[in-house]
Order: sequence, then structure tokens, then C-alpha cells
Amino acid sequence: MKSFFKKYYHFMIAGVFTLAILAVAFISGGNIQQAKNAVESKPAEYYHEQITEFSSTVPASTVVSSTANEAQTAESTASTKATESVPTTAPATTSSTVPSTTVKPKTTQPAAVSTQPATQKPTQSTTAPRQTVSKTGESKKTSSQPAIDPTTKPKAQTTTKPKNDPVKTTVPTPTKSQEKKDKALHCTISISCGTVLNNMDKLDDDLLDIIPSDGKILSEVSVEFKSGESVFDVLKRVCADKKIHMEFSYNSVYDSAYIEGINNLYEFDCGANSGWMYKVNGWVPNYGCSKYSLKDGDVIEWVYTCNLGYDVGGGKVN
Amino acid sequence: MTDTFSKMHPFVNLLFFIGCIGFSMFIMQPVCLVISLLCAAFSAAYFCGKKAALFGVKFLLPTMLFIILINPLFNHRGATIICYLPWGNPFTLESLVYGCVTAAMLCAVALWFLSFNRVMTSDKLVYLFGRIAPSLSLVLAMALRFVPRFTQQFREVRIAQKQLYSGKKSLSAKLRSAFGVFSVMISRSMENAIDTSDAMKSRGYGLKGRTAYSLYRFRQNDGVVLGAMVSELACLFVILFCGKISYRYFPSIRGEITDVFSIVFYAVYALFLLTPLIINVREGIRWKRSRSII
Repeated sequence: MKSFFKKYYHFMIAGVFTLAILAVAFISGGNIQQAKNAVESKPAEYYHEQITEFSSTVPASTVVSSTANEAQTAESTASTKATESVPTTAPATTSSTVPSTTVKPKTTQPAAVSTQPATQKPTQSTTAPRQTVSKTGESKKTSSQPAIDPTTKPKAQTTTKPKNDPVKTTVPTPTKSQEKKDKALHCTISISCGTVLNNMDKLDDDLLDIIPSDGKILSEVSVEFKSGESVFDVLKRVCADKKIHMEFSYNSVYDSAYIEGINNLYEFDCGANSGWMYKVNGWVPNYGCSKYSLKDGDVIEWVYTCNLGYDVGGGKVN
Repeated sequence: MTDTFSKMHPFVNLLFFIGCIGFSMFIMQPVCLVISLLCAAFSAAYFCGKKAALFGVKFLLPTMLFIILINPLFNHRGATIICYLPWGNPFTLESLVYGCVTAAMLCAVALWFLSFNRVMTSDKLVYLFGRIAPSLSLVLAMALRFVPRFTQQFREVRIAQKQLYSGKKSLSAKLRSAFGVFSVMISRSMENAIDTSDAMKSRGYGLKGRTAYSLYRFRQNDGVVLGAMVSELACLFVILFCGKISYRYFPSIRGEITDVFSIVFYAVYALFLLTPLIINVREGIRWKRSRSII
């Protein structure tokens, strides 16, 4: 044994050395990722506080994807506060970040004049005709939000796109930190690949017998979940219970699980634009399924898209 | 042991190895793989003897086990879920089977290359390709020769270094001496390459009218074997392109392995893969008989 160690000394040293390098790379890589997240979470939190003052009923729709955008939005929100009292007359060409809504029915212009600042700038409504209302889904439901004066921060506006924000229910909250309540919460979940039936020509022949004739891999079932659980947790549990095959991988960039395949139907199996997406209450979130903390009564639908989500009510525009 | 196959025309040898390695690599049907693995093992044992057995135990068995274990850990496809891995993904029967199949395929190819190295010596390669692509064939011959030569010279240099600087050494000194041996080997192998190319150039390698070192004549025997091999290959290709030899592992294992076409395919395949053994054994029997008569 001793002679064996002596003989293969070099090899062992080389192996340990390689492993050490790999370990360092692995650990430091993880740390960098964590540090990035820490930086990222701060402006998001800040933004969240800022926003909830005004919008209590903004529905969870989509999420701001990058840190830069979040910071910018937060900044511009802050700037609105500061410049509220200053009436300006310059034309606004771009849409505001926080959708300024509550258009009065009587106003003839398409200008988005909100209730609060409207009192301070009555003249503006006639001179600023091109302030556009951002037509995102949430704009209808929001109320009593201050209109952002776009001219005060032209730089910020040209870069910020009309987007929705991760407010309230959709704020990324790590599942672990949530308190677990004993109260039974229910949601319904279904898994369907109905879009494949319309694109059978793109499908691999080997997969023909795993596609159900009606496209429903799992018809709607009600499941119990604990407070703080995400869509992914529920999917994983349901698939294990119902003996449905499911493969996922962890994506560190989005800090979420990515569903590669369900029931042996994988991404890219039905054309280059195909893959699994999820909907909650009919809406397709544009962030990972581990990030969506469920509410009581949520309706989860896992759908297979053959065209980047456009055929299931999602896609880029949403 | 008679080795008539190695003495045949290099083209026959090359065609055989291209055929068997190609088929072993691309046909993932389990029965065909088992046939290929067995034939490869027999051939390797015949051509290399003890070395093949050592290679099989020391290198191939661990590799096989490693592949069989590692495949289901990273491949989660398959309809039959056996259990769930600690990180949540399924462990499926199909991926386990696929791991076995991949391991068998790799082993078969490695064993075929063992025979290949023994039969296809560098002079045969130079003979075959020296006229068509002189520099390519030289590079090929040198590359094929590189690894065995490198290991042999590495051993020499290490022994010499050990004798020169004997005595107990610290870890860093040992590492330094290992790096020293390595750098010696790098420069030595480069020098070897330059030497070889210089020598070949000064002998007029690649010029018009030069002949090869070995002279092979295409005899009637070669013609018979070549014809048999070509017809076997044609038969195999016809069955393959008819789609009769298809086997799928994902999402569920399915495939016909006992129909008529498959059985014909197995027979022809085994015949083709056993060509060198058949030739050599037949020659051996003939030799023995003729000797006993005298």
C-alpha cells in the first residue's frame, strides 16, 4: 500500500491540485453570483417601498429584469416627487416608467393626467398633448398614481421602456425566509401540451406516443401548498406524486429553476422555438417559476409553446 | 500463431478497420454492439495477447463502470422512473440502459483500435497514402507513433533523472523534477519530429518515382477477401438504409431485435467482424495439416 502511494505520488498530487483549482473556481464563482444578487436586491427593495406608497392595487404582471432598469425607475420615481410642484410645458414624447393612468373621461386629449398633479398644472393639459399612456395590462387597474413629468429627466426616460414592476405578490422572495403557516392553502395546477397537436409535423417521430390525444398531460387538479412555496415547488411535488416525468435545471443567472422537460417532452422537441412556460391566473410571468410565490386560489397552467410563447398568450410583448 | 491478415494488402486491412470501427460507433443497437464487443475482444486477444487482457482490466472495466454510473446522474430522460436523485431530478431506467450501451460502444471501439495499432503499422499507412497525400500520411504516421514513443522515452528520461539526483526530496523538489522531465520530453519530441521530417526530405520523400519502404502486391487472395468484405458491407448498408436496424432508447426503449432482417444483419455483421480471425485460423489449420503430412 505504501509503495503504491509512493509510486503514484505524482498522479495524486496532480489530481489534488486539479481538484483544488476546480473547487476554488466553483466556490468563488458562487460567491460572485451571491454578491451580485446582494447588490441587485437593494434597489429592488428600495423601489418596492417607493412604489407601494402610490400603487396599492397594481396587479402583479411582469417583472423588471435588470438592476439598471430598476435603479432607474426608482430614480425617476424619486424625481417625480421632487418635481411635482414644478409645472412644465415641454412636450413629452416618451412614455413614463410608472404608467400614469386614471385618464379622466372628460379630457379630450390622450394625455395622461393624473389626479394629483393635475391641480398644479392645468395649463399643461392643453400644451402637452403627446404624453402617451403606456398600454400595459396594469394601466387599467391602477389608481391615484402621480404622473411623472417626463421632461425633468429626459435621459432616464429615453432609456426606460414602458414596463411593469414586480410589486406586491411577485416580489422575489426566497422561499426559505417565509414563515410557514399551518393554514391550508390551495391552488390548481394543470399541464398541457395542446400546441404540439397543431405542430405535429415538427415533432420527432419517437415522441408521438407520449403526446396525449387531447394534449393534457395533467388535467386540472387542486393541490395544497404551504405559504411561501413557489410554482416550481408545487410542480415538483405534483409530478412526483402523479409519477409524471419532469426534468429541471437550476439557472444561476435568473436564480430560478428552469423546466427542461415534462413527460419526456423537452424544450426544442417541437421546433426551435418550443419549450415549457407557466401561467398563473392566465398571465405569463417573465421570470422563473421558483420566483413566483403562490397565493391562495392561484390557477397554475404549465403549457408547452411551439412559438416562443406567442401561441399560449405570452411572448416578448407581454 | 500465424498472422496472414497482417501480411495481406494494406488496403484490405484498412477497409476492414474503417468498416468495423465505423459500424461499432454508429450502430447503437444492443445486439450489434454485443457482437462488435465480443469480436473486438477476440481480435484484440488474438493480435495483442496478454496486453489486451491487461488493457481490458486496467482501463476498460473502470471506464465502463464510470460511464454506466455517470450517465443516469446527468441524463434524466426516459419514461420509467426508478427513483429520484437527491437534487430532485428523476433517475430513469432508460438512461441507465443507455449508459450501458454507450460504455459497450466505447469499449468496442477502444478494443478495435488495439488491433488496429497492431495491424496497421505506420509503414502501411505511408504505403497507402504516401503517393496521394505525402505530407498527410507522414503526419498521420508520426502522430500514430507519437504516444507509444513518448511514453517509452518519458520512462527513460525519468529513470535517468532518478539515478542522477537520487536521495530523499521534498515535495516541491519532486514537483520541480517532474516538470523538468516534462519539459525535457517536450523538447525531445519536437526534435524527433524535426529529425524525422528532415530525414524524410533528404531521402526524397514525396518526389515523383519514389517507392515505399514496404512493397505489397495485390494478390488473388487479397482480391477474394476484398470482394467478400465489399459484398458484406453492401449487404449491411442495404439493411441499414432500409431502416430495419433501428433501436431507440428515449423516451422509452423500443425496437425490433428478432425479425428476419435483424438476424440476417447479425450474421453478416459477425462474419465481417471476424474476417481477420477466420483468415488466420484457417491459415493456421492449413499450415498444421501440411506440416503433418511431411
